[in-house]
Amino acid sequence: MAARPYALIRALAITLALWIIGGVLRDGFARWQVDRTPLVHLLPAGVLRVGLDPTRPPFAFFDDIGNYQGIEPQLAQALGAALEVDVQLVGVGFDGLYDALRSDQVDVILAGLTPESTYGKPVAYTAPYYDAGLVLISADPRVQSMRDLPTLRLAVEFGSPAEAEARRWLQRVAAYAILPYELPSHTLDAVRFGQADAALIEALLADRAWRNPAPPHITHTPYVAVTRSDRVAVRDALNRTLQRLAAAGTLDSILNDGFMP
Amino acid sequence: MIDRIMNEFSKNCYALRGEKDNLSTMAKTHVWRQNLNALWRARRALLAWAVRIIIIGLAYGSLVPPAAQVTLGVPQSVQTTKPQLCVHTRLMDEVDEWKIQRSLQLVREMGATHIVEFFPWAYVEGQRGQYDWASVDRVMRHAENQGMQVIARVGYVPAWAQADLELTTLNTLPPAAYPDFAEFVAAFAARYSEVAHQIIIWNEPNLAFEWGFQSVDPAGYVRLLQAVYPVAHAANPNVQILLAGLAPTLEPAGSAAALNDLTYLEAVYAAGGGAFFDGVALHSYGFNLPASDLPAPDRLNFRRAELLYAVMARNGDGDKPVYLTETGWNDAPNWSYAVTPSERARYTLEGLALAETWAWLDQTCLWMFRTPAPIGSHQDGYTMVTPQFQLKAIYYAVQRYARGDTEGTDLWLPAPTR
Repeated sequence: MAARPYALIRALAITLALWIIGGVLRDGFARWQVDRTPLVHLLPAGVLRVGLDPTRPPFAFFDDIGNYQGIEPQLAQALGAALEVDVQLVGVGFDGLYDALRSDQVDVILAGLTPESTYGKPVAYTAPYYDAGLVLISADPRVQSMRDLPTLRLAVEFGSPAEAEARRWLQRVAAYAILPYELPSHTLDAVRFGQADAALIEALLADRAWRNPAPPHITHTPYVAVTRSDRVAVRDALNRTLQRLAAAGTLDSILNDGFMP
Repeated sequence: MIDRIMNEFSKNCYALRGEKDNLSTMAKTHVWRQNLNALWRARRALLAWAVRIIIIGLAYGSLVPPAAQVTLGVPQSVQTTKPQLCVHTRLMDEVDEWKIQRSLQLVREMGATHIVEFFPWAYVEGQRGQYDWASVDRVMRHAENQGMQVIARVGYVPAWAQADLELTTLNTLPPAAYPDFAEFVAAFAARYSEVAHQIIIWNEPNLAFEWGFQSVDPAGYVRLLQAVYPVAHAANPNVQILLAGLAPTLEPAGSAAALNDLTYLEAVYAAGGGAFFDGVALHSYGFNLPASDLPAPDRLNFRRAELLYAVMARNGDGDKPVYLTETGWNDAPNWSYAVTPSERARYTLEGLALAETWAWLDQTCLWMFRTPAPIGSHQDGYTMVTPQFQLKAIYYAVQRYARGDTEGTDLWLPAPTR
């Protein structure tokens, strides 16, 4: 009689263990099945509808005859080709991007969005396809970080995030001179002509003129693709494909094409 | 003491476990009673340990800084030479009250007398008929304390008022819910009659996105105004109900995305809307053109405000108050409608000076002062202060304008030369 409680506990423990193992196996199997499912079967419209904000050259814009051009449309087509799914480009104003995703008008947004914690559960983010943070440009290869700047002259664009970042770093390292210029191109010219030792500039602007060697990033602004969180399989498929495109050099090639003058 | 009790307790449990087959029910009951007695005898020791644990907990809790206590302080007034200066804030999404206060202090120090703020209906009436004004109250009391007036914009539909949660957005207001929205506006108008004299009904309804991704429908918007106007005035006869600012756009009739703002405004009058608003909110942005760029129906620029006012005047509303509730230039680095920060400063000051000459205009409100967190898009290029309260060059430029300081100093170096 007294052994009955222990037998009951053992039975409960075994049931619990089986339930947990079963759950893990079931989820794993479901995941494995989803991973093997062609993307086209996961998309309600049967095509990959990509939301773009076509006001952001060189990332997305209209050409003279109204066709989508830029890095993000190219990337969308490359993703579609790799995933063997047709791509439909959908132009959406920036304010409406997340709502277009929420109301199921697009499957993914490619519009230079950065992970945003306040959106929380409704969306899922991929790995970055570009880092649009600030970079440090210098003709001197020893200048690789803001800590290398004391006693030097740093050119920045007046009123820009680069100027704000330069002033912020002045509170952390020994003094350097901040030279404000009216235009970003002036900061690069100041470095070329020896009137400044370095320039701090948005990566987008630096990429056009100073791509080799790649300048060091001082801040990071990761651009990511965004999907619905209730279709994580779509996000995962895009993530795997982005990794493949990066490894094959396709992503770099698209970025290089986009930044060509 | 505790060790002794635990030993005794363990011993009893061991006895119970080891001799489980031999013990009678009565014996087992006896052992459990012994355990309870042991615990009772140990009550003082247990109490002492409980006190220690509480003290340790309190000490740990004290390591976490408490929320900043915010006091209103002495009521302030705005010192400015430009009483028409106004700025659009985004305070309702701010978590920390001190940041609301700091933002409004900076607005006052910049010299703006008015703010425009968006008050989402969904934040206040989460349950039908149950208003929670706490978040609105804290914005209003700090604005009042800093000596400012608030132009309120209302919108955003609570879940209970939406028709189909899966297929709608926060901007989708079913006509059946117009009376509910009107009741909310009336309650708002009555509660904040001292500090908010103008209420803007909805936002940019000429965009499909702002109209819940439904077809843009000026007559539908007029029906919304018609539902709101009498109820709001019954609650507060002095309130000004403002026609929503329209998004500057050239989209033709039939576009799925939007409708030209001039066309839309004409359609509002054609639908009899003029009887249901006391004033008009305008949106006109400079994009990448100088403030002086000439107005034209096929051109989006700062002076498009003049064309919108001309529509009002043609329809007999030339004497109604007009508030330019969104205007400005953007200095985001990668947006095709942006300008450089130096151009932004120059164009903004030119625009403010030009707006001073428009006798029909009451306030000029710059979009936008600061956001609680970075938006992560070109919209960050519209702000005057960063989320970390770093003041941008545009803030200082506007502050100098509001102080009447016309003496220019070079803000940047000349272009480098070889």
